[in-house]
Amino acid sequence: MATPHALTKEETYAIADSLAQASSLVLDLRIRQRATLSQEEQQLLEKHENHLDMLVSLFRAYGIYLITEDAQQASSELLQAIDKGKARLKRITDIKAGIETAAKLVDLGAAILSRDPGALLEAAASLRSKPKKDDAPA
Amino acid sequence: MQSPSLLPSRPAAAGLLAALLLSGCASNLAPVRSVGEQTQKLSAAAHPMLAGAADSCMAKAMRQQLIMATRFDAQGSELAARQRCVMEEKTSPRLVALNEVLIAYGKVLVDSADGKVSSYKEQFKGLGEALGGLEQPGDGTPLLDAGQLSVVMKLAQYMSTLATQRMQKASLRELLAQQEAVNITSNALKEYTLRIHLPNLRDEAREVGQLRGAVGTMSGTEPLAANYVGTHLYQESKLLAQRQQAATAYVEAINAMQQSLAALAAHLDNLQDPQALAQVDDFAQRVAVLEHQVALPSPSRW
Repeated sequence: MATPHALTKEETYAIADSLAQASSLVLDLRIRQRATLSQEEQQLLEKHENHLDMLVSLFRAYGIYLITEDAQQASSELLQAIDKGKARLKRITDIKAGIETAAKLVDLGAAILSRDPGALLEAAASLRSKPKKDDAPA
Repeated sequence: MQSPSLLPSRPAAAGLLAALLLSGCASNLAPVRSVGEQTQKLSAAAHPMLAGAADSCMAKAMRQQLIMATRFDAQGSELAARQRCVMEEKTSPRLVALNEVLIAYGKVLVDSADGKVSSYKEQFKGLGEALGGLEQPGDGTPLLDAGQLSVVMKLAQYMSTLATQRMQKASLRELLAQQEAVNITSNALKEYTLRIHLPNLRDEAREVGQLRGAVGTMSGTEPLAANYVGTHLYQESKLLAQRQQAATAYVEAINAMQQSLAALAAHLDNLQDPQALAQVDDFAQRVAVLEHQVALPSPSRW
């Protein structure tokens, strides 16, 4: 038994293109012979033309399937790299938050040095508040 | 006032040193940002074409039915057209998904090349204020004078900027190393455009030409209808020509994107390289042409 032959992309495109040409010839015939063809003949040609058009769609859709199937692996690798890039951006944002915390620590140190209980409480409270991350990337 | 011994006694000279260190590591990532932005624009411009395959197929089927059906019935024709275009409807989400990966790639490039990523102006303002407010215990004089404060700040800034710029560079290097995956993904969209979308448009254009001929022969018996449909078909043929130009512009923009990503990857340490800049510029121009071309064409309703 012959091995089943899987259509290549090139074959798929070529078949679709020739079917489209065939459909165009049928339309041409319908236009040219409009006055001379019987109603039944007209309808039969119309049906054939529709079938041909449907086959064109089918083969071109199969072409899209083959194209996108081939790119599937690459695009999922790319998505992984994108996620990794986003994670790195988040780490950089975390460093920024660290600097803000450092500033608050200095304030706390100053408050301890000045022995000012009000400033001490204020600095301690600000250290507990969450660092702002307004420019964190999405 | 007593200066802490770890600080240089001549702040001006030390400040100059810190400034030199800072200028040495500053890099201009504007070309990367531009390529990321253009990639997003390119994909956004292509979206209607990739998502609208079924609409285009429907318009073609309806138009032909209206003019050539032996017995035209609007509702039945629409149903038949929908059935005929079911494959386009099913496959176009796959193309849209590939295109969306490119949009996400462009966005992460822009975000990673953003000047804000390695700029700590805001954060250091707070630290500077805090350090500046430090006083000597007892006498209330500032612990650091203005010159000393500036040196400390510049050094701290230099240390963290260096760390994050390295991270930023490493991140960009990894993103740009995905060239093969970007090329495969974008080549798929290019292949669709060249081998399926453009042939579809050419078939449609040929058919519109045939239908115009058919309508012309009816002008004797039904002049008003023939003139109306004939005018519509004329507009349609112009629109189809524009859509073909837009598809060609899309393919050229994809080529330019691939070339500018390759140029960025090759010159990440010297982004001011004239050839790389020329590639980036060419890409932006191709995208501008594409955006201009797609401003009008989308399939008209029949």
